[in-house]
Amino acid sequence: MEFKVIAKCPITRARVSRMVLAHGATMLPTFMPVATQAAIKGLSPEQVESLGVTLILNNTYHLNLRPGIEILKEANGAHSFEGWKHNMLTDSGGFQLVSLSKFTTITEEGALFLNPFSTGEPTMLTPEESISIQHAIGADIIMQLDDVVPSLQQGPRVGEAMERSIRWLDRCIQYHESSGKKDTQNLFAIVQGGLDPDLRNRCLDGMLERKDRVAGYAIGGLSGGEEKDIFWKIIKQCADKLPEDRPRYAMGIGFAEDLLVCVALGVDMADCVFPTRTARFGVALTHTGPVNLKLAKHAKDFSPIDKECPCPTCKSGASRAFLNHIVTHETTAAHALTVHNIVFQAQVMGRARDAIISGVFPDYLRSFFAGYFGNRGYPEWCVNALRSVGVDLLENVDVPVLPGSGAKWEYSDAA
Amino acid sequence: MSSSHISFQSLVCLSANREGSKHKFGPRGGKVLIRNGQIAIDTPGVLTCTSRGVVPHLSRDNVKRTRAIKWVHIPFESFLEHRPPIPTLQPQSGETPRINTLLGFPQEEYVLSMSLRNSADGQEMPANTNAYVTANCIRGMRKASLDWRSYVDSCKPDIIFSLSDTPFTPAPYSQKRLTKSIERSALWLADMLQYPETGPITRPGNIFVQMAGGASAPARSAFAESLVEGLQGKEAEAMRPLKCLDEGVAGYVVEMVPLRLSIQGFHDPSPNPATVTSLIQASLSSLSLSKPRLVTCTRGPHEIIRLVCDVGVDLFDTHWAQHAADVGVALDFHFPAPKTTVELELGHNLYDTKYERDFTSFTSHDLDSSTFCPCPACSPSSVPSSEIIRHSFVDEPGSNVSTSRNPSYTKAFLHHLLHTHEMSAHSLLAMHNITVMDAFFAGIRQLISQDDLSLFEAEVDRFFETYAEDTETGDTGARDERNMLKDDTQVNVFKAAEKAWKEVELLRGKGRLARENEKAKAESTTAANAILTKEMEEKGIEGGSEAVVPMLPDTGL
Repeated sequence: MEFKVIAKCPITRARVSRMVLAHGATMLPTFMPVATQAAIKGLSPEQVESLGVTLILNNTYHLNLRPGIEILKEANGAHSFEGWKHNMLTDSGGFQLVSLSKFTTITEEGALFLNPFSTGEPTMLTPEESISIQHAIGADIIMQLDDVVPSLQQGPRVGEAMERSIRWLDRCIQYHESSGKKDTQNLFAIVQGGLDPDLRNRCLDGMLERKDRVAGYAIGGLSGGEEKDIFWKIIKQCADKLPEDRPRYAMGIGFAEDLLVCVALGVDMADCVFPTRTARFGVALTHTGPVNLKLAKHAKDFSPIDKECPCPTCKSGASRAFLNHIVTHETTAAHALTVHNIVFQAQVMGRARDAIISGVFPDYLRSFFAGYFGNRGYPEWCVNALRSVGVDLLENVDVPVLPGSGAKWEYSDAA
Repeated sequence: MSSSHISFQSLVCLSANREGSKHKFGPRGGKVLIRNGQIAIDTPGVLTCTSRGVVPHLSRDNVKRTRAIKWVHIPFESFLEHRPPIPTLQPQSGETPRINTLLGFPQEEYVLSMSLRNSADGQEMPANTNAYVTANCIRGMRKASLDWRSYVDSCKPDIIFSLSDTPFTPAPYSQKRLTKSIERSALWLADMLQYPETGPITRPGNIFVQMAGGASAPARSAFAESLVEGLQGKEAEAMRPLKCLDEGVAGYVVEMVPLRLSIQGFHDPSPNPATVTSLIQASLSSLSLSKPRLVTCTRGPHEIIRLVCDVGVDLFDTHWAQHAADVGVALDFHFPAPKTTVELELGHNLYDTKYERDFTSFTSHDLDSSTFCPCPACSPSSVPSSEIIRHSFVDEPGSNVSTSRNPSYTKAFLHHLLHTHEMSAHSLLAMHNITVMDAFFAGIRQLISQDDLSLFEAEVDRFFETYAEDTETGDTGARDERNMLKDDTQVNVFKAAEKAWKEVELLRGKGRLARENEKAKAESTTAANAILTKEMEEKGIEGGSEAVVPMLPDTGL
């Protein structure tokens, strides 16, 4: 991997970098859309490529179940299997320890998964096995297997999982280095430690010792319902301590305001199913907030979702009335909103890159929040987080500050 | 404002020398000229079906990628859930008709036809009356009457289907019902054609009439004759200068779904091909040869070929091929058929585990062959790097994008997408199947243009010998025996695909959680009832399980 920081915000910790992997260059900070089972829901790789996306995520756990490693090997890896020519990242399957916890048991050796689709043999996912599967998939960035606990988990299990994640990192590194795939596939470590700053620190120390043998760092174990004020503090703590010359990846982050706060704190990459999932439920993301196209108030609105938006849906002139007519009834409504939302995420991050390079990132943050939240109020945690890196969103503006997550949503006027 | 005119140019007719009335019904090639000749559709040709105004599974960019889509047909009934319907509220933008603007079909690139009802919908409906047709939308039944004319006046599609009194009540229909159906359909057509000679809106020249008469040949002939009968009295006055209804008609439509239902009822939907042919001929025999004939919802290439050969039908929709995409079948056939000694299937049921490791494209032709499928799934290509969206000025969207063709999507990939319930499978299949149909028609046209009936008929025979027909109840006719032998070991590809689709849909599709809840609830109710029954039996209470079951409500368990 070639990783170069090309610009830094003089005020916040935000930076722009160029990351060159085996399938081309990707400019950071960036958002990675999720293609869980080898396809971004409903789209073809040509469509995804046309949206200006150069890095997507595949899920190891799912690909291992179906189509299975043997088939991926015969196809020469996931790139060729699914027809994707650009960069790809695979998670390690660790997250499924939480999301599919009904089906798993964890031991020092690895995680024992029951196959939810058949009553056959349970499968053991060890760190070595995870890396070996990711080798077969062939993603440009692969993740260590980590011991993930739910974000809200407390007690000794959190510390145990963090320590184990370091031990599993060593096993992943060992296996990866002996495989001869080191030149084409880049292994990232995942910082764990729950919501406890001391545990996070110990994890960071442990993982930084292995810096020469990992290509980048992810911040894991967040985005699981924890308080937002704790969330940003953990991100900041990790991003501050992670090395300058390694990409930093915040896992499972997808709301626009979360992305921008993370970028300001020094994060380079993020992924989340939110923008593509919410699209399937009929919600279009815009720079003035989410638009729920299922609502009757859009039935006679003949304007596009966002007339400035360069996505194929908005460019084709598809109106809110048209989308309201098909949303949740026709799969193409999901496709139309999925491409729109992917482009929205990419625009939020692309504009951040431009603003950082031009030295006006704090202004971008202010204008984004003004446009997105308007006078409805800014989430308090965003105000706090950005103050910690020298940007005061409330400077010269008179908007209320909202406690809690403050995430914006569109409701029916009738409600 | 001038309205769009449709005309038909017949170029080749292979049956000109056939005896008697047969000369009217042979294979023919021509052009449908739309919007006074601005767009020409070669015939025999094909139109694409839509649902709620969109080509199922295809976003607008994918519709554009699918060059085979040139003519889209819009059933209007889904818009009746709002009153007035949304398309009529679309602000007029330039000269573009409202419906094209709303649905994103630029007039320069697409022909758009519109009917009230969805011709694929054969479900039982409340009876029509003299004053209205019952239509179906997501909020239930709607009555559509002369509003239809105001809708088409407002939407201005290139082609309009007149309203038809087609019964969707269980067959058979009485003589009285058929007479009513014919009379109403003619009356409603007349209503569509009554325009003042001068005025802001002139009589449209783009009305296709649906041929009424159900399964009765005399009734079908009678309807056709009522179209060419001279107009009398007030009606003649209102329709001047038309001398008969037919003069105001631009084309003839036969809908296969109600026709099949009226021939055989709801339970056995595979009528004898000869019956179908003779009924359609009954509709057309007294009518002009110089108007296009359109048949909806045919059941695949065999039926299409029969209708091209024996009825001289010019236009077909791709409903069958699009349905195949819905259920995971990639079509793979050609006309003329390839030279082979083995019987081929019309397509591949990609749910079948035999495709798990099949890394070849959907089409059995060689990549170098000129007949290799040009669809976006078999011959995908990246958009030029200049068209890739740039999100910041440091982006390098051109890197790793070649302008040459990308590798074909494979059967193995589609097999995976189908089993994982990924929507992308159906998008790729829809683009492919519509393209296969387009190529099939190009093959038919090419052969017709050689103007040699015996050559054409020889190729038709060869096609029938090469490909197994997709039928509901197994094959009919000469090939029965062979298929009976086969049926034991191998189910029809399409039936098998449909079954597999339903299984995955049930496992992974919409409403899965609700179904699982239901199931768990049912199981616990059954278990609880079993215990109760046992207890009662032990205590010697009379009534047994049947009497016990209602004591336990379904809810709250």
